[in-house]
Amino acid sequence: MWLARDNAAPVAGARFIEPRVLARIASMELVAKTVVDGFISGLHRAPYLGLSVEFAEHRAYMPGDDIRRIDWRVYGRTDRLYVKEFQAETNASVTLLLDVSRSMDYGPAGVTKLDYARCLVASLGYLSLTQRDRVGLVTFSEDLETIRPPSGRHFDRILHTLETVHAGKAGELIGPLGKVGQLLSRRGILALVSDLYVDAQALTDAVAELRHRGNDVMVFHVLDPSELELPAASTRQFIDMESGERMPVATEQIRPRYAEAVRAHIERLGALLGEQDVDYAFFDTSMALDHALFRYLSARQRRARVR
Amino acid sequence: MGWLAPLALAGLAALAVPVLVHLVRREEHDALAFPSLMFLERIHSRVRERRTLRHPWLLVLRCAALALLVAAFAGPYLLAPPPGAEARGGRDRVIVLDRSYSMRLSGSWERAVGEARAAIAELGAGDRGALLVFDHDTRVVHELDADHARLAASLAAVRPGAGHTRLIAALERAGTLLATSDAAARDLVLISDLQRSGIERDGALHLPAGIGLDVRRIAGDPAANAAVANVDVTHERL
Repeated sequence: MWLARDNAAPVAGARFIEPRVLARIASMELVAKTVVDGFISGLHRAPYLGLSVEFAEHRAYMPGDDIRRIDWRVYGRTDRLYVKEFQAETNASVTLLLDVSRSMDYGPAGVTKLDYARCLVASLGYLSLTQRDRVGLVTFSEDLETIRPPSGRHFDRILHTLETVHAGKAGELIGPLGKVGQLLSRRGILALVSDLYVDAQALTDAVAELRHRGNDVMVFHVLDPSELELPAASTRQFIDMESGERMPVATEQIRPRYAEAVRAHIERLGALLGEQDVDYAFFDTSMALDHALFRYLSARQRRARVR
Repeated sequence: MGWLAPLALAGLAALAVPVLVHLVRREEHDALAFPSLMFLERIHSRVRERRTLRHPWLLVLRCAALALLVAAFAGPYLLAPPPGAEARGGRDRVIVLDRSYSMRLSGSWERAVGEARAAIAELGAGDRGALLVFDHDTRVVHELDADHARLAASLAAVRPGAGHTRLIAALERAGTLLATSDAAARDLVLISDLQRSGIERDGALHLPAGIGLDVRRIAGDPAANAAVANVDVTHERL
């Protein structure tokens, strides 16, 4: 079941920094490299996961390379340091779509959804870069805010955008997705990272339009753990962070119903998006990012084999 | 029961304030910013919490305190105003002394002053006395107070006048001095020769309820009168 709430890393033996620690790191470049390099090195130690990152060639070691990628067998034979380079997939265009609406700024446990999504997007982008992909970024709330078309040479600007982005405006998902489809000049991979407070069918229709244009779409659904079950309290006045609407709620009475409604929404999203051949994965902000990377690579390799 | 200042009861409208505070303050203290109400709105409204007051007994106490404060400003009383009459014991007395022209005659003034001194001497410790003199005008010589020595001195300084008598007006003026008294006993001591002409001219007497009237009539010395009883005419021829 993709609704994995446990924090066991899918890469055995790998230890990943907790998201709340990553969120405190200001440099997205450092975050991305830490997460991705740790993930890839973990893959090397666990070859039977059904996931492989195929070896392509060696190149000479240069200062700054991750020493975990050094091929020690070659060093034993040659007394020279070489690092492994991995199979370039398709040189795809990867566009990362990041929701920066106001609801993403929620995170009572110390890590907001935006912090988590930011680290996730940076990691996905860096991972794609190691795959020789062109990486682009689009941030959106009620409209498109930042647009960086896919390229292999401006990842530093993408990281800078991720470092400086903040959630401030009310959000709307369907309209911006429609505009993204019109903006893209070539087909590629779209990775949407959002809290998906939208009707499941409406989202599916918007994503279907992107699929119809020839794109591969992946959806990463991010929520805070307290959004899966209401905070424990007797009576609260809930205020919608985006619309400002207020609603008095007897929390204890409706907690079971609320949790059921959220689960039903997640399941429906998975079912509807799956019908459109869209990869859907749910994460809460307490889960290590390797889960997301694992899903990302799995989906990409599955599609490569199909082709 | 009555109210000295019934308009102050309009302050009872302020009772709405604690009620509103008990409703509004709840909302502010329990507010929680949440990413979306999408799922909450999908749940049937019957499980929404009905708005109820928190701490109802505290609200009742606050309303009662506010109501009592408003009632205090309105000045309630049970019998004749002002309230609190039982609180002060003792007596308030106004001596109403006739100094009209007729009191100059036949030693009436001396007797009247003597009666006034006696009325002052009847006052006990804590009792208050006042002195009002009248002829065709009324004048308060000494206001109500408990200084009996000063009252006696004020009496000693009074002299008889030359005007005619207006008794009713004097008594009603004396009644107003006692209208605001909170003493347990209130009385007027009228010292006069009660000239009939003075009473008839002023009409009916109206005094506030609860005021006693002690009339001490001053009679003049009996005067010797000569009268022609019979006349006989004697005729003489020359």
